Amino acid sequence: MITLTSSDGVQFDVREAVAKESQIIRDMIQDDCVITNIPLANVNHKILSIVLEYCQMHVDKTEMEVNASKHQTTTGEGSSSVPVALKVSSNKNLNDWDKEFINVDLDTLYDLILAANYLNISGLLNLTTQAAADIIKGKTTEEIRATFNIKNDFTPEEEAAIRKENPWAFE
Amino acid sequence: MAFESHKEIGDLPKNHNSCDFNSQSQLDIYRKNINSFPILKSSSHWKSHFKQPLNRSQKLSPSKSILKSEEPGLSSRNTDNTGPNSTEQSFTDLPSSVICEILKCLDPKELGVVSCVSNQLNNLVSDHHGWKKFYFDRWGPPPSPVDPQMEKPGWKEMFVEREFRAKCFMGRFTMDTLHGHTEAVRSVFALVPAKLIFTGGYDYVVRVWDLEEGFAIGASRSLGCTIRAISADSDLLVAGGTDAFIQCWKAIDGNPHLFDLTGSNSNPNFEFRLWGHEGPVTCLDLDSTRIYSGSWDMTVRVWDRSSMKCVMKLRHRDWVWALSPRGTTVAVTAGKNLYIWEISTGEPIGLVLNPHKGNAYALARSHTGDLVFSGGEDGTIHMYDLNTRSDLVMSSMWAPHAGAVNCLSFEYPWLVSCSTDGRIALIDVRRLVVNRKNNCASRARTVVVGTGEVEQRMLHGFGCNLFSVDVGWDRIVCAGEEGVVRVWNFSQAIEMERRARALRCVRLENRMRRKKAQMEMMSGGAGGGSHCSAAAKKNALNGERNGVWHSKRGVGGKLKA
Repeated sequence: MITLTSSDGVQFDVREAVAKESQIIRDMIQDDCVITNIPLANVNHKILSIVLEYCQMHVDKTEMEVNASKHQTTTGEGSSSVPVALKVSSNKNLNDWDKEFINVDLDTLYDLILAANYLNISGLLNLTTQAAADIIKGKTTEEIRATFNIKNDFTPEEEAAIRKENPWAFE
Repeated sequence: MAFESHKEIGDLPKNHNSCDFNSQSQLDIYRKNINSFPILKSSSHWKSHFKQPLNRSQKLSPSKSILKSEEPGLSSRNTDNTGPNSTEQSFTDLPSSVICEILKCLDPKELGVVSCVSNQLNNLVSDHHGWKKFYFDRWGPPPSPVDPQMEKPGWKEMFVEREFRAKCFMGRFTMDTLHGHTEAVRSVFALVPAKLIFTGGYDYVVRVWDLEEGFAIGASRSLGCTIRAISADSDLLVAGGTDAFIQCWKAIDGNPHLFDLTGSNSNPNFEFRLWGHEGPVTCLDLDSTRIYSGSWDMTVRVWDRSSMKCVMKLRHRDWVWALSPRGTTVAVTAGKNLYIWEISTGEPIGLVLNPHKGNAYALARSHTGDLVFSGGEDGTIHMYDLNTRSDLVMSSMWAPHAGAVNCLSFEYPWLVSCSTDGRIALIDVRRLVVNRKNNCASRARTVVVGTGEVEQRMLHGFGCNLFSVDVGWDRIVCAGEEGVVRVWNFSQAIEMERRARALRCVRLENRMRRKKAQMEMMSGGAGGGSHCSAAAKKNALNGERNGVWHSKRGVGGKLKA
């Protein structure tokens, strides 16, 4: 068990395997500079709980697969088709679960990206950045500004010039 | 109700700085109030491992959604928190490195749109490392080495420039004809970085030409057999033909034309032959570590470039016509079939039986290898897309030729084919690739047949067999039965187009001005005329009236008088 303390002082007790989904925590544990309690100054409890939910799910799934394959080796070839099917379906489930998991509002998404970046959880970082990219995809410049609340700081001349530089984007 | 339970969560950090959820009794107390807190709930499961993992995930997801829906309230509650999580955020407040991660997931077009959003994003997009990858994925390394005097090679600028340049093949061209071969030419190869063309054919001689100026640089001695295949890079030139050997020339340092073909320097380190095939060599290609050769002995051989030894033999059931290695795979057309081999294992990973009616003579691939094109005896060209599906399913088909397709060459976005009917077809596949992405999203596969939606162009007027074509940068090199090598030069196309457009503008302007002047004159004349006539009429009227008046007056006068 490892205790993670969020920036607002809430403590979470998690299994080591779950905490190790984070590269930064894995490094800490490997370097022996931490025994049990890790303060995370950049993540509040709300986001940390979501992040841990992700880690938990992914650890569970991988462990389940390991167990399934163990089961397969012990039971022999007769029942091998069942665990394989289970594995496939669990992978599919995990993707669906990820899709459902990342279906959050923008503020939470920002926080998740920052947390994933800070904790260095590559799976979560990929998932969240891809989600952000998917939001950008297919939008016009104005829609992107509106969606992300970005101010247009170009002068009209600059904007015209920049549009001229990127003509293929508006074909 | 939901709000109350969330209030409990908000209060948690103040009242209990350390909540030890390991103890079951405490957990039970909390559980009553804090149903919406997923971690607390699942912490009991963490101890008992994962007895019911699926159950839990079902339990978790609704509670998560409650938590998320309450999220604005929560963040306002945590205003004392100094972490970045709690403050009002915008996309642009994310660290640059994170935004770059997001930009990595976008394609060039989307990046173009993003760069127009704001200054910060424009700078990030311009510095984005992805541009280099985009460029390399499409075209490989740029033909001319990046100018060291340029402060920083702007990959975005280079990409945009090249993308724009791709239009030139729709423009005007000039054509050079290179005379020298005495018989039909079987193979041409354009080495764009060195600005060289290599050609060979039935007259047993390999010739070198200057790509830009179109003059002959040199010729090899007679190799004693028909040359059917040539390939080169900046280190090695290989040629193969009827007598089953592969003739190799190594580049000589300091030689402006890289290779010394004349054989004056008969140093075996610079000129040698690879023996192994048992039939005529029909196709050759190189990558950085290997030479690939295909032959009518029904094999493809893979040679190691450092040891110059054959390291692999891929057997087919028919004559090998064409091959194209990319990455760890090599695509081969042999007889009527199309094969894709994994080189590391020597196993076939893809096979299309009888894609064309008759032999599949021609083959080309995109730079990353995910687009495969085959051309056949029936004059059709097929496109296979390995991006969306690993199995080879035709995604597009064209039939631009009336005769067999003898050779294909691809440089994004143009597929160039030459045929027995003496014509060259240029096909822009860009729109198909975009379509493919849409298809990918909707999982709908449609085979695009015909030419309705792709830009296409034919170059023709040479009533003879064309055997070989190569496209590079802004040139197309082609040769065939007549023994003349033709080079289409599109390098001026864009300037010409610009000039033509400027001229057209000037002409239009002149015409408009003339028209306007004419109009003015007309309207001035007509208006003035009508005015005059009206005035005249008026005058006439007046005059008449005057006359009447006068007469009246006169009459009156008379009367008065």
